[in-house]
Amino acid sequence: MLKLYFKQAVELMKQNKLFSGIYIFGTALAIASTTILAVVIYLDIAPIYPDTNRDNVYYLEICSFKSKNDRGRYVSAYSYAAVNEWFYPLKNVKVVSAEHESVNLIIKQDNKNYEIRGRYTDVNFFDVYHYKFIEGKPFSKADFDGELKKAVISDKIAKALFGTTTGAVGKTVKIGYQDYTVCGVIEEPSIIAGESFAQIIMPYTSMAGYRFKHSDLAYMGNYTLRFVVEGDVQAEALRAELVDIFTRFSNSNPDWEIDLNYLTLRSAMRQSNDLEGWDELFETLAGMLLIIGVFVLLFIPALNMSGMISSRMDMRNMEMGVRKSFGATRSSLLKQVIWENLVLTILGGIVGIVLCWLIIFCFKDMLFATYASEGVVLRNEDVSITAEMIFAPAIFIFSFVCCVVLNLMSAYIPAKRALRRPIVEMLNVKK
Amino acid sequence: MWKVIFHNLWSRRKKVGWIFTELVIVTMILWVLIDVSAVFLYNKSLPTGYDNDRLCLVNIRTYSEKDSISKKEYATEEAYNEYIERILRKVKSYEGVENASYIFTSWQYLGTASVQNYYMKSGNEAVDSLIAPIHVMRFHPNTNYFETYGIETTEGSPSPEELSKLNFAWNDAVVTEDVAKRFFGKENAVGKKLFFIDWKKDTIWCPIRAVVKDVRHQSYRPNCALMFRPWTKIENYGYCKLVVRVKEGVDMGDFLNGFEEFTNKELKMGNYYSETVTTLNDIIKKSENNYVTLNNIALILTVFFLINLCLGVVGTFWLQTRSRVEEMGVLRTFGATKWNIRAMLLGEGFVLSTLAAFVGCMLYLQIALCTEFVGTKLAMSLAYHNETNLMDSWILHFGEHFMVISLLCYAVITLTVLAGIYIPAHSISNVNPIDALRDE
Repeated sequence: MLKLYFKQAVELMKQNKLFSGIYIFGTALAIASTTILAVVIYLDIAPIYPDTNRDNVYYLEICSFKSKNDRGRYVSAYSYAAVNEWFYPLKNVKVVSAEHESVNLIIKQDNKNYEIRGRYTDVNFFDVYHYKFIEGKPFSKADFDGELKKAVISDKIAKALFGTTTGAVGKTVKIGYQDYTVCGVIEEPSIIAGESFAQIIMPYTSMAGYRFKHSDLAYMGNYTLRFVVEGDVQAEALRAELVDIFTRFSNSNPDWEIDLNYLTLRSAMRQSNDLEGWDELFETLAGMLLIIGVFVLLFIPALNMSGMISSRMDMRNMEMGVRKSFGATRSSLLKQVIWENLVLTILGGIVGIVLCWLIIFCFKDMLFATYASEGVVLRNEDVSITAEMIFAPAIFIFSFVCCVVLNLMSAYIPAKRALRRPIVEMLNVKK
Repeated sequence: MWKVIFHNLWSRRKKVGWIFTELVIVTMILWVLIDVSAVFLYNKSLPTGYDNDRLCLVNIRTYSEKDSISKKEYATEEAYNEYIERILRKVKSYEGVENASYIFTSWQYLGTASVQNYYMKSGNEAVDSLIAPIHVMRFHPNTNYFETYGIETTEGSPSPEELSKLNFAWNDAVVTEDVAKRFFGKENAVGKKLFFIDWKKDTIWCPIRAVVKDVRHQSYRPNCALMFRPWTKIENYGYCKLVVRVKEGVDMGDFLNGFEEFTNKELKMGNYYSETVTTLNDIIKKSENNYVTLNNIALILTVFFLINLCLGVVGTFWLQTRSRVEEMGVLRTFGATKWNIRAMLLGEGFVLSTLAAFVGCMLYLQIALCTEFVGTKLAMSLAYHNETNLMDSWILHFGEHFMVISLLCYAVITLTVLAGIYIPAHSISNVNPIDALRDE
């Protein structure tokens, strides 16, 4: 039966080339746009190099210190003191890593300036993200404790500075006015990797003033935290432990308290706002954006195609009338129309996916502009897309589901309405 | 003809109903998207009030006092002041430099912006009751600030060159035309005073030394109430930017190549060193990048929905041409020309899009009356604070804003529908009447 529907669909395509062309193109556009949206959101949550354990990496970035004496509020990250007293000793966590505020750094080489993305962090950073070392190794605990100026650079930076991706270990890079010795070269991640993207990684102890304490409040500073946990159970235990730490601070400090309403512990798939409970992906803004975006991007083309299918059903009244008079039921005719349209929709879906890949490759800079740091204008060549990013099974499954949904949305109502007519009316209707 | 058009549409209402529904929904969606783009592009089109051509900024940093390279004798207030002046003189003497100044800021490019808004008053209660927070920009006196940026003064004010020679007191002010008009109407504001209450509850009077033409302190922000106040001492030595105006006729690319080398070698004085040289246009491009991206997304989505609309219109009308061939054949037989046929079909599209745009805009109006226009929210968020801070424009008036965007939506929708109908209209108007009537 399906073979018959397929044959009929192909025949109809040949008979109505314009209609088929418009239908396929309209479907392709809808599938391309929803797939692009899905790819952009997928890349935000998928485990891609070097953040291969993305589901279990949690971020804590800001804190709100509220005065108990009407002196206002500070919203900032955490200080070195907070990192050492509160976070490094945490029990319900596998790895803790602190990072000083990330910056765009200027490397001076041969009288040229290179603006690159740098991270001042600790040794545990390399346990959170799994960078591939082309040469050398990360800076050690001894380097970190000794406040040595060591740096891990990416292969692209090594190529730009030294003309080669190997042989860079032991060489010097000048950041501002300070000399750092290269101790390792990593394969540079794509800027889409987000929080794990870095072109140079240095120990935060190499910065002057890394122990800086704010005069008003010792725990306020520029450090953000990353935690690696072993699953959701440990994540929940971590959340509870953090609440306990902050509550004890608020109770014991006479002047300041931590306002939990400003705090968010987040990972790629879930987040705990105000450190209360958990919102899974589809309850978060990204999830809602995906659902609403997909609905809007599919609904309008579906409405389009419904109109066209409705017009085409009028032309097929005679055919349907004859089949009904020979005993075909309404449901079998409806099934036939939906299957025939599914062939067109799937063809459109295939064209849509190819169109999606083309658009992603040609307009990477615009699509992923939000991944660039503040004040950086992305160029197309700055964004690298790998096969694992866009050929993920999840994307294909998503696109297929969209095809089916679009087909049902566009064909069901007009076909059902058209088939409700009595046989005599269908046979006598003017073309 | 219009009677025929309405009759045709009514008789085929079930078939065109889909398109009509789609037009209404697309109108509502496009309203939001066009609103965002229109407001953003309108703000960007306003004059900035300064001349950003041939301007570049040099980031001057200081060595950290904890590093051995930093010298204690250079880490005093006098030394920092002296060396920044020396650096400025050196830059001014470089070939190709017309003028130079300095500002101390980490992120702005027009001066140090005060994050607070000052609630200035003039003493005239009728005016002060309409109080607006004023955004304050800080500059350093005697550094050719206004000339280097190309900020012009108004009639009755000292010229920018004269302003550079003025001795500014810490509480003096230079206001924009908009601020002067708000407080003093058409009177010359020079010599008049504004005051504010500081955090110690003291009243601080600010004599107005000059009025400048309206300035937008960031390229993507709308015009808002702005005034300039002088720094009398340098607050944060670590974040200096030299502002350099290049002479007219000098090629910027060639200038920057040599100038960057010059800054790396020569601008190391005291504890200062040069970090980067960038053109102001590049800095502006970076600073507005996020909003440009937002605008691009809005435009892409607009194009997406319009393409879908066009496809739907083409498809629906084309499928209907088959059933209307005899009708067109009869019309041609009775003397209708090809243009008459096309005009009739285009007229149907025009009526459809007009009705749908009207319904769509009215439906969106109900939503807008409960919330606020997205474009207005965008403009206000970009202005930092609230709409009283913004210069008066159509964006802030509900009625005007609604009419402007609705008309834009209507124009876009109608053009798309007409473009979509033209192809099937052209095809059906070329049909031979004899062939058309053969099957009748």
